[in-house]
Amino acid sequence: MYLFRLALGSLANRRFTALLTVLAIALSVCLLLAVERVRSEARASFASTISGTDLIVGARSGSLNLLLYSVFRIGNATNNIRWESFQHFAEHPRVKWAIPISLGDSHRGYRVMGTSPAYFAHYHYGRGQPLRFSAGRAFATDPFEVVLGAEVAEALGYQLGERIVLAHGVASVSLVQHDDKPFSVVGILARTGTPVDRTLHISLAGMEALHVDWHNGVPARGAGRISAEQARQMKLQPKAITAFLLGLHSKAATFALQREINEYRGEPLLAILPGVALQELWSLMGTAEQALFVVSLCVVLTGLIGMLTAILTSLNERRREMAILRSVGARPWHVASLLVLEAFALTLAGVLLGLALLYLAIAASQGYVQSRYGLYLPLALPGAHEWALLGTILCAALLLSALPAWRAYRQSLADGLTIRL
Amino acid sequence: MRHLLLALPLALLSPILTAQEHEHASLRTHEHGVAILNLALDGQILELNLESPAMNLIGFEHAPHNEEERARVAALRAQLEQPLELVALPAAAACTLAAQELEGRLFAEHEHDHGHSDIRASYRLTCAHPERLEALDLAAFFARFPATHRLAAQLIGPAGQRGAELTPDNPRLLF
Repeated sequence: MYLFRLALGSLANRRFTALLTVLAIALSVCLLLAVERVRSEARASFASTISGTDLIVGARSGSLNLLLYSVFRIGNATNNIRWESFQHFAEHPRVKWAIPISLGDSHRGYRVMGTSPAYFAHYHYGRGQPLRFSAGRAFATDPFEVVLGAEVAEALGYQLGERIVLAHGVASVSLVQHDDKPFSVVGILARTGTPVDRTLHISLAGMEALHVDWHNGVPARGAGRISAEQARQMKLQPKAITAFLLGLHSKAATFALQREINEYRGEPLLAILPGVALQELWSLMGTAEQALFVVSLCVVLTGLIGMLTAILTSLNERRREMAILRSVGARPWHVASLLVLEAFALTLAGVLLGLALLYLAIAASQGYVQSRYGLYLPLALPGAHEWALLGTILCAALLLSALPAWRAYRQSLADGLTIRL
Repeated sequence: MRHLLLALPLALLSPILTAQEHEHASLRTHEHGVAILNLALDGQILELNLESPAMNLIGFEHAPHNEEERARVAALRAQLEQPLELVALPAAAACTLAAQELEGRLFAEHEHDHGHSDIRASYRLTCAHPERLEALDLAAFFARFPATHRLAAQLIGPAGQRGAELTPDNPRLLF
């Protein structure tokens, strides 16, 4: 204990260098922990883009492809599926709810999705959070109503009641506009931090009405055209949709239904478990995540080496200190352990300061990060993994301090009291 | 008589129709060395479902031709009927086998013999303390069936859906 007091006293004598060293370690520790926390939260939030959905069903292709276009609105479906197939499984006794999804149109770079009111009731994200309206309501019986995602409304400055024109296809500059059938904004969803924010939602009837007078991929001309008013009078029943989401009564039935869908005779279908596909997708992106971790580990190593340098350079100027200690009866191993304790004290202070910095940063940025990126950073105590990292840093510091300790040990043997001034 | 005559082509047609339907049934992938393990935990019920090419489990996919092969099929069946010896569950969870089903052309008495063949084993277990199910260990499974190099696992637990890949070096699946 008296050794530790001596080490602290000696450090206090060199408080400026010591403080800088502590700060360097603190910053590196803070960075490492922040990267770890963002990494684990990003993974969790990615996994919670969709929640509560037991199966996603689309035309037979790859599971990642299906996940990307149905949930992330990236890429396109290889095929559509028949409305009868959707009805067959929506009425299946094991199915609690079914949400149809129809994609293909866009509005100024944002995807338009045709769906049913069930979407607003049953689509969940995060830890089972439902979709909420920040203004207005879901689309009702009129086919020409649209509900905007939060980002769409914010970026394009749309308010309730605005009339907007959708474009055919998903290119950001589209030549064919559905300008004969404008939609009015009836609802705006609250921010979710998921692709829902970047989507315009219309009813399946609306999607059908847009294309009701289209033939061979182009809109009809002249007398063949069907106006919005005429379309309202028609029976707007889609023949095909892009995909559908299913929620089941019992989770245990998921695999059985997945098998039944994959072996459906009506047409080739693919059912995937969103949680499993998300994990598959995340593991593809895992390399970048690993790289980030390695970089922050290197920063910690730099901090520790900085500390090592500071201690090593101080050794020369502290020859007198060592000599005096020796003269009052300190043994060489006393001197050596003094240096080890010094390194330990510096690192411990660095780690504690780093933790304090981390929590300060999280407390300051929590709200912004949550609303902007949909990432919830909890002010929780470090988990087992983080404690292990901190422990490793302390051990590494002790290991590194063996170098100056060994040198001091040798010097104090050789120099003894015969120091030349 | 006329009605009968009219019905005749239909009667002849119907087996053809069903045969065609069979051809349209999907062709599932079949990769030797890889098996699928599905697990779903709902309340106290743990559904466990193994699907594997017969090759992984027994070394051939045809119906047993001789006494030796018949003995091996019987041994495999006996083994698969004791799933708790292949899949180690935490003893604290107190799981017992409630129902099981084995499917596979290999187990059928008489069958026409062509192409690949899969074996599907479904188990239903009841666990008195499902919250104690932390992990399950398939080391015994890999030791017993060394021709299985990889198990693609899909898991539905209290924490949601997860996928995992199990290998002889990494045989533990965390819930």
